[in-house]
Amino acid sequence: MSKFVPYANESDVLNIGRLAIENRLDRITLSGDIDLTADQAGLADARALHALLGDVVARLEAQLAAQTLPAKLPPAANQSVANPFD
Amino acid sequence: MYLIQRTVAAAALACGLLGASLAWAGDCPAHYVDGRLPEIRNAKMTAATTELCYGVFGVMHSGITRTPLWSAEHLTADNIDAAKNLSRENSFHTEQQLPASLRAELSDYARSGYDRGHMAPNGDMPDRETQHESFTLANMVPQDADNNRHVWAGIEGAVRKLAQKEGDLYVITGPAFIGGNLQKAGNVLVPSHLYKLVYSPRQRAGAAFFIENRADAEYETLSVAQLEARIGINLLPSLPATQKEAMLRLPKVKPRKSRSLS
Repeated sequence: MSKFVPYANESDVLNIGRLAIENRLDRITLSGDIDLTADQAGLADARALHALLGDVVARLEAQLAAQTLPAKLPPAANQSVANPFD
Repeated sequence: MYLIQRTVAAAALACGLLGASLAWAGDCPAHYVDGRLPEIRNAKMTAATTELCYGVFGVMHSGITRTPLWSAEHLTADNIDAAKNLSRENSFHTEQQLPASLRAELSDYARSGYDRGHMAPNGDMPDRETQHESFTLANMVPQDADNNRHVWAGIEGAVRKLAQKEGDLYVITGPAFIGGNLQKAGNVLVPSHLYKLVYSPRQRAGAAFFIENRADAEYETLSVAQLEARIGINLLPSLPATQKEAMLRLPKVKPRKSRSLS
């Protein structure tokens, strides 16, 4: 399994249970749901999720320490254009 | 199966007789109703289009929007059963079959605030290879995050259930670009709306979900004829006009998760 490095790229996708986890440069998106059941499968999922969140926190804390973590992301720089099909 | 093969043969014959410019069948007829490729009616939309064929879906890609104009699937109950226990790791990727001047790059979507919304859904893919193919940016549009994760996910799930009930369905999913101005994320045009057309061969009837590409939007259900008029594409060219008025009964879709819970 290749390592999921949070915020490193725009391509990685992981699934834990029915949670889809997407890597983006400015966010990690978790969508869907999951039951962390009280059995060995639940423990495996919980460990995977725990490891992922540990990496996320470590990465953001490092940016905070380096004073490069903004209070809030800047708004997206999308443009408005004329509809080419209109 | 017989019927499909016969239709393809007939379409191929017709192409041969009428000349290659009449692209009746396209390159992957198995993904389309009666093997017929949709016909774009809005002339502005035909520029820079490329047909792409994948294992279980076919795409018409626009180099103007750098998105698909549609992704078409023949969704079967067997494939849905196979899809249930898949996944774990995937990766969004740029479409190497397209020249850089026409395609979306991962960087177009980066920091845009939009989700990379699948048109042919990952959840429909029966094996690892087709699942990987579904993550091509040629199958993506910039989609509002709330819309993608809630109401749209609900529509995708409802269509899978309907396909299991019917045995099979043809599904065509795509963006609509309606209105004077549109948002652009990098070089990729953001659709104003999204549609998902389903056609049941068993009932010989179809219908479509149609929704604005924004948070908290509610979907409309349209007949095939109504949808085609709105988007400027004849999606099911083999069907007579009267059959496009017949409404397939669509399930009521509950969003996968209600925002009002929080």
